[in-house]
Amino acid sequence: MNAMEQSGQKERWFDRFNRGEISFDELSQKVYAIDHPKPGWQRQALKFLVGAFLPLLFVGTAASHNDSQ
Amino acid sequence: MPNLIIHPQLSRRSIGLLVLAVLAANTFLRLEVNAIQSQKIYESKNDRKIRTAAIIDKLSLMFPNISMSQSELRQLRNEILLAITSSVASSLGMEAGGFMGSLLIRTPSAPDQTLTVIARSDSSREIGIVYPKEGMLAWEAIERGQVQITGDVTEEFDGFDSKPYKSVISFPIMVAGNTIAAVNVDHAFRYLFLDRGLLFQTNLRPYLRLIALSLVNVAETQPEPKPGVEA
Repeated sequence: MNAMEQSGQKERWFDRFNRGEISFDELSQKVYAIDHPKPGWQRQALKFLVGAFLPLLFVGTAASHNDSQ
Repeated sequence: MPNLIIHPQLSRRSIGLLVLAVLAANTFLRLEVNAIQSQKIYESKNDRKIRTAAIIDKLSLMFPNISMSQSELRQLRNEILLAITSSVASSLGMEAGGFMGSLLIRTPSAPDQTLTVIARSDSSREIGIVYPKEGMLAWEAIERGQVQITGDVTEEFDGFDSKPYKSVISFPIMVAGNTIAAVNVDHAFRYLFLDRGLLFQTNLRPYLRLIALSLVNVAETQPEPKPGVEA
């Protein structure tokens, strides 16, 4: 679904809220989810690689370098 | 003072790598914390905007018939459009002066053929202009009930070569599931609104609901004759 279709979907959520069919919290969550789609798995994998794997790599390299002394 | 014991065999290179590891982990954690904080700030801002829009919608049900003179109504719409252009400019970190907001409705005499501009955020461009529906972004917004964006109106649509603007975003104004009008915001720069339509739709919602209120709830009254002036 492209952004334009999502904007139409968002209007329908607002309309449902105004008609009392959904609560404010539900509306807020729906709107937030449309405005901020979750990143794809590639982006999450890259984030994990940079955030967790890289420091471990440095520590591992430091330790192995130390052992070889 | 405690002694800092460093293993005698720990080389400078190892220490350097360990420092790098700590810095990388620190940066990652800081970025994560910032992301969570900005999400919370946005969620709260998001909620405020949606709540405000909901209050306006409730008020519009409570006050279905507001009487206003034509000039008062024009001034009101002008002020709301100014608030919209100011908010868009602020979101983009730009001066509000370069943005123009326009309110378009279906022309009453030809509702399926043309659109009429009934208000502007400033008076440098005239109102009352009638546009045929073909190639109009606002028409698409009204017909589909979706936000429409173009990055370069002169490239993507015919007949706009002489216009002073390139980027246009068009928001549908909906009442009870029907689109009754559209608000356009334009600027001379290209590709200003791409990928921002959904965020603007939420952030501008209170103002867009005020526009809806000014269209549905307000009845125009005839201007009262000034004292001492005979009709």
